[in-house]
Amino acid sequence: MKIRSSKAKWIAVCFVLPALIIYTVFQIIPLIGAFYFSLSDWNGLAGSPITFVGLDNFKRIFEDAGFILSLKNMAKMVILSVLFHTPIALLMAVAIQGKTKGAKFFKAVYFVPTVFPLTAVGLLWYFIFMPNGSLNTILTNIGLEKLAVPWLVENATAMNTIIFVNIWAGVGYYMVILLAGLTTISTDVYEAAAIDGATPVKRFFYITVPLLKPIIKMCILMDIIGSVKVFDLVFVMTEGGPNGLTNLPTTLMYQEAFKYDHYGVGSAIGIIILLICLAGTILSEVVTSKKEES
Amino acid sequence: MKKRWKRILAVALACTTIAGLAAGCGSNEKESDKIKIRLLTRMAGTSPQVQIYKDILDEFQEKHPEVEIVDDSQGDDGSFNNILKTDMSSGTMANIFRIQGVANLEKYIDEGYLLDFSPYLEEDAEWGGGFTEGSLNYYKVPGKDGIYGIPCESGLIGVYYNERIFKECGIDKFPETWTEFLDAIDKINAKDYTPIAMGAKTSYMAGHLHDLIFYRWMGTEAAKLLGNRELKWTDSDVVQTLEFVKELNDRHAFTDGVVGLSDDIVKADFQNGKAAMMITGPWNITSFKNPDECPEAENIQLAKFPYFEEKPEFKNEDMQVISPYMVNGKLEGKELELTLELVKMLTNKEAAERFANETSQLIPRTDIEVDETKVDPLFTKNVELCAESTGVAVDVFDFDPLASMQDRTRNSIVSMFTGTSAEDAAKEIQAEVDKGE
Repeated sequence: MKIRSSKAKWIAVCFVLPALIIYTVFQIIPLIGAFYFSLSDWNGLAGSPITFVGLDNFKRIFEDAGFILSLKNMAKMVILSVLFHTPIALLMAVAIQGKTKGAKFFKAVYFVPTVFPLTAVGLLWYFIFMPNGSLNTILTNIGLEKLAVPWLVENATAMNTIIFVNIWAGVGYYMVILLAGLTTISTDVYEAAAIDGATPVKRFFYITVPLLKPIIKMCILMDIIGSVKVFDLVFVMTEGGPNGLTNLPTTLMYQEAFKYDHYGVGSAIGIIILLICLAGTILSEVVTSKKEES
Repeated sequence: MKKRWKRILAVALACTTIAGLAAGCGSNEKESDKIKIRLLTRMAGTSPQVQIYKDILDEFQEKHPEVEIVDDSQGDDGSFNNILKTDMSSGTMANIFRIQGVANLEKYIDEGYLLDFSPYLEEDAEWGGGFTEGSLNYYKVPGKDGIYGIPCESGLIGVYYNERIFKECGIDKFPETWTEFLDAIDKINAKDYTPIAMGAKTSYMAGHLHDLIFYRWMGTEAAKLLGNRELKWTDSDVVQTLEFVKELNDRHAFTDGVVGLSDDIVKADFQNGKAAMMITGPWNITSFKNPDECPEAENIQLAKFPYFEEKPEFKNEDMQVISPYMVNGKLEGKELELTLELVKMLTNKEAAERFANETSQLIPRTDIEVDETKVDPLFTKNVELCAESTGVAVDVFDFDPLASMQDRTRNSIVSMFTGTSAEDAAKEIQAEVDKGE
């Protein structure tokens, strides 16, 4: 739509301006600042010199085994979250949609973890998974003491346990989004398919999934960005430990900038996280678009 | 008409946003003529120590109604650290605050963020002359003139032990030497108690254990040598100190899954008589002696960490906690005068006696009279043991100029509980030093 009168143009500008100013002040300027700091060395003290070091911070990060491990952890977190969040949420949404008995109750129950702050969720699960926590106590009491391991400590289980909690905490959120999407699909389509003899499974794969594709796409996108940004859960459950085993780039960024006074390195990690988010977004867009075309 | 309203609404929205942002960026100094004194300490919560601290702030406020006190103190380490770092990077330091460590203070001094207390300590002999020499010396930064912290808390980091469990295990006296200590651990294990309450998820606990071993094996001066790079973490003696920590773990001195447990959980084990020993400082005395919180209150005793038979010269090289109040070096005039007055009120003889007699917190002063009928015997014992110290230091990394050494050393020590060798842990720590250099 073209705005012809200059008066209308000014009104439009005035409406857009508040959002634009807020976005610029709180998003664009800090982003430029982070980029600037990522190329500099600064000890975090106001008044002390900021030295330009080029790409040294990035070089240092990629030479650091701790950062490479955190990248692997993040990749694992993103892949497993995407693989489990949306499919489980979709199945749950389909199961409780419409006139299913107790739908409202289950909707509330599944959504509850999303309402809790992630820090509270982290603490809750920490008490379950800690070496003398409820899970190990139950396993020991039922004679499965061999399965009782320090879940948040062992190489094989620590990161997977955190990913499990992340999936548990987020699945309700995606379920509600998909549930809203399901309401937009007309019941006529299902009825017509039923008359044609389509089984519930076929109806799910040939009606529900294709018609929900834009929403599923959005869920995956949000999941990728959300998983890359996970911080609080790790911070509460393990603080990135033991010895960096469960660190993510986000927790490393916090440690470098706020604990070790390496603001340049911390900012460089921030920029890398941003680039990963962008790459993930573009990749998911390309993959889903290609599928649509085919 | 509709269009007109639309226009007004659009302009109003834009103006409000711009005004809001401008107000956010501006200063609100003119709002009040009061002098603002902001404190950022660790004195937060509901403990008796915090209550006295707050009482003193109230007394000061009453005396100086022209002052507005803003107490941003945080009990949680992470929250405290976040505010401190934000203050530093924005140049809005609190009037009174604290920074952990000594060697890393140099950059703050260079930027003028730390006040040198020496002239004020000399000027007010009654206040300044009362502090123990060692505690003030601790805040003399290598290469800089002056004293940059006023000690507000001190005390021995020692071994609090459950006498009942020891007797039940056939140990009549707390072990004085390392060999006796290992023997005691075996006996305690045999009776199915956890020998040492250790929660390495909060890694300071493992760090403190290593600090104690380090000072007993190499003396407190060696920590300074590590800080100024005359010693390396990979030197055989330093590796040996790490090896001793690993030896304790291999001997099952700690509960299984030690790395996944936090300090509050193992503290509860100790208080409930499940663990025989806990390495900690005087801040826990009140909770150890409170029968409501600690069913084993009557049985808890304090001893120094055992020494190594081959190193008797370091028998009394101790780890002590020393926490400071620091003052913003940029303050001047009336604001500085009032801030110093508040620091004096928080650390003078009267305050020190209140803290000692009512809460077992020791401000390291020589002029305090402790009422032995009021204070806990554990506190008296702590003071007695402190008096035996031939050398005093806090954490080993306190003498290191690299801020990352706190996490690096503690994390590497903790990694030994999950299988890393002492040599590899030492290499990992040394690599951090080399990277920092």
